[in-house]
Amino acid sequence: MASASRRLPLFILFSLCYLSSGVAHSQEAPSLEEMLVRVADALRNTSYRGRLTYEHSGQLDLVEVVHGVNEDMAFGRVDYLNGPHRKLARQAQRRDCAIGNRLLAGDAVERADGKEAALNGAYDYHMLGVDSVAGRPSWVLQLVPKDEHRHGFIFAVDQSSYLPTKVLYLSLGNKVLERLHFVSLETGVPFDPANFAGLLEASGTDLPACEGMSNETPHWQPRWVPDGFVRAHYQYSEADGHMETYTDGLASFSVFTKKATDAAGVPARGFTKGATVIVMAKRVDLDPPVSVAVLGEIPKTTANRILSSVDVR
Amino acid sequence: MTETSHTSLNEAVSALVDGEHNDLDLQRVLNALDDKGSNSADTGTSPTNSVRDAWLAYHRAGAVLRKEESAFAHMDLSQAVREAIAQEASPKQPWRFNATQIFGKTAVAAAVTFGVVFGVQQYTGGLQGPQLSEPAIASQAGEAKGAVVPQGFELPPLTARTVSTNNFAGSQNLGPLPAVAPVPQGRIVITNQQFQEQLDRLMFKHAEQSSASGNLGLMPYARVSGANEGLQD
Repeated sequence: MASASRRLPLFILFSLCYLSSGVAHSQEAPSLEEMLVRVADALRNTSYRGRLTYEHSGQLDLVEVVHGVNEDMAFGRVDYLNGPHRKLARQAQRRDCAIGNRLLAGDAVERADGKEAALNGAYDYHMLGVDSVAGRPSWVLQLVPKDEHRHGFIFAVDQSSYLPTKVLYLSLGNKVLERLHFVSLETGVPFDPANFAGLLEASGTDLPACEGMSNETPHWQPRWVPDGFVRAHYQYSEADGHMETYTDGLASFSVFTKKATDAAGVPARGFTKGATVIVMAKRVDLDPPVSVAVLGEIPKTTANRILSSVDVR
Repeated sequence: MTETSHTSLNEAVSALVDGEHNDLDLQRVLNALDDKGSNSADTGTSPTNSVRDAWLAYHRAGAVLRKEESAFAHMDLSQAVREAIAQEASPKQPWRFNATQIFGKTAVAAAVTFGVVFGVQQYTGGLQGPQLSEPAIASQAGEAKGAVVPQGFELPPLTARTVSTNNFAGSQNLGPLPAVAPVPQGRIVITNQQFQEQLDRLMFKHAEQSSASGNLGLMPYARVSGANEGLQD
């Protein structure tokens, strides 16, 4: 115990020395607001390829990601390298459709209730120093939440591309909940249609509408969502009912509502996985009863409060 | 006995009473006690009596200083005690081989040793389950896997192993092992296939929309790499 307590200050001291020594060799950092504007732009417009680790609760998963930009469309491909079965995820979307990206860039977005949401209204920004991630010099900054309804973040931002190279989610007690960390990253890769076969044909030649950004609303909605969160997406499916996704530019959560049946009843309980929380309940106080699930990277108390606020629109 | 030797004898007795004597003091006092025949020319007392008187005097003085004076302090019982001891029969007994006594003591010691060793093995075995069996190893591995280790730190390798001198422990482990591996505390296992698929689907849809909203690019997809593995209450 005594040796451990001696090691901890040394570890912190070495970390600070490493971070501060790196500053001397790095390029001058822009203001934090300007840096986030460039991060949002890089996420939308940069073609890159890399390997990413996802670490939580002592588990480590590895994925390979490819992001390609072709005119006004962005394509993504994710290969899951863990597990016996190789899975694949793909997406194609208009580059100007992302509300979360606008919030990250510092834009203020008006919510349905008339309130204005902005990232700097939800977080305080702090520069921590410089680190090397995936062999790339990166600025390290911390975003501290201004309320108890969202987690904190530590970001590493690549100095040359402004892509986030490392993201740590911190609980309200500053405990690391999960870590997303690039172990290799290559930027400026040419767009290769072979990586996105099928998606290109499906997207067609005409620019699609911004999917999910319609004003269509479900029959049930949460009466309360934390300040700073804006509805970014809506969709309906037979299997899962109505789905609304909210974001504050960094954190996001989805609310699933569906008319409850005996067969579709779900246990009233919650789970966590890293920074992700899932709370589910059958709201029998509503008529008819509704199965509600709130899923996202938010504290469990916040998710429960959102769930209990769901009511008929 | 000269005045000098008398003084040195008293000093030796004093040191003996106070527990600060050395070997020379002790030898001097014992010699004086053995010297029963010679009387002092000056005092007419034998060294034995002198030593006894000094012994009593120093003890009385010490008791007074320590406020331990009792009603019997002035009484000298030593003479009566010596006479009583002299009348006692000497407990001299010829040595003889007593097999019952020797083997009896050995048997008691062996029984106690066996009891301690056997008892400790049974006690620890009850806590850890079958020793060196697969479930025990899986449990240790699972706990290590579930532990959160800060960046740059590592868990020490498991170098300790349990051993047993109990020959019957092996036969107890020959039975069929449990088919279900123990689950680390806090982890949950979803046995309902339909519910598991629903959770997987919800997590994937949420990751898809988080990414589409522009939150951290493709990073949210990494969370569904293990589906709902690692879910905790």
